Amino acid sequence: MSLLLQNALVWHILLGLGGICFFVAVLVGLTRTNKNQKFLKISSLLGLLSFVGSWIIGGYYYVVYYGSVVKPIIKGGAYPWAHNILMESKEHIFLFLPFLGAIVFLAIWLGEGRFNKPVGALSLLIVIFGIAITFMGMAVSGAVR
Amino acid sequence: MENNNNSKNNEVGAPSNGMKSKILHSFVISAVITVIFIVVVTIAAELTPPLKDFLKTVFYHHWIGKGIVSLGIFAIIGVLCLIFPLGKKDYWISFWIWMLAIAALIGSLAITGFFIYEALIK
Repeated sequence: MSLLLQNALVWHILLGLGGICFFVAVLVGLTRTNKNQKFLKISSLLGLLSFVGSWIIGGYYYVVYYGSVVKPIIKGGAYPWAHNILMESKEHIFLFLPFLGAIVFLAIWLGEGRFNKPVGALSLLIVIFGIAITFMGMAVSGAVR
Repeated sequence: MENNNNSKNNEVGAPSNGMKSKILHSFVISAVITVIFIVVVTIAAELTPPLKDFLKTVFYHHWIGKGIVSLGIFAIIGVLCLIFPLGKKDYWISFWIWMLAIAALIGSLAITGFFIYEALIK
């Protein structure tokens, strides 16, 4: 794997984890009695940007390297279900995240604190999806070895 | 409960609270449709190889195709909803945000369930 692809994989993971952390921050911020709108706005913006960055960089790695090199190894190995179930689910559920993140961002920036409950629920779902996708990614990586 | 107080938005070019609500309402509806589209196109492309091939041909990779078409749907439907006279009441905006969460939850289960079925049961 080239240095560019190694960097793409690392940044895909780092930005994905960063996005999860920022939406955890949004979730925690929404549960506080005295809500700090500036903190919520910055966290939701950074969370959205992190997911968009992870989407683009991870997509580059997936299309250029994973499909042609990693996928055949997994499908020909002892754990083909790691690709057939986990990777297929992960790559498609990941497509939800930028849109869910965009709505949390818009609701916080434009809603002015009027939609805290549904936005909190949506942030929680983003965090759950993010953690599930992280574990799926770890399992897929483990299946290559 | 509609907030019509525009006093905080006196800056030149800043959208009014009514306009902010309408933008939010429009793009939440658009996001619900986009999430449903992602689920449908993901399953349909696996069941209909010509659709997957079409996405590969046009966008180089089916996954890139799904992403770009989803972005297009999100943008176009969001803008179209802005044109139509949607309500600006907070109740309906909350309703659609809840619908988005429910659609994403059911959609994720549908996608995972479909790939489990395809890999282990079919």
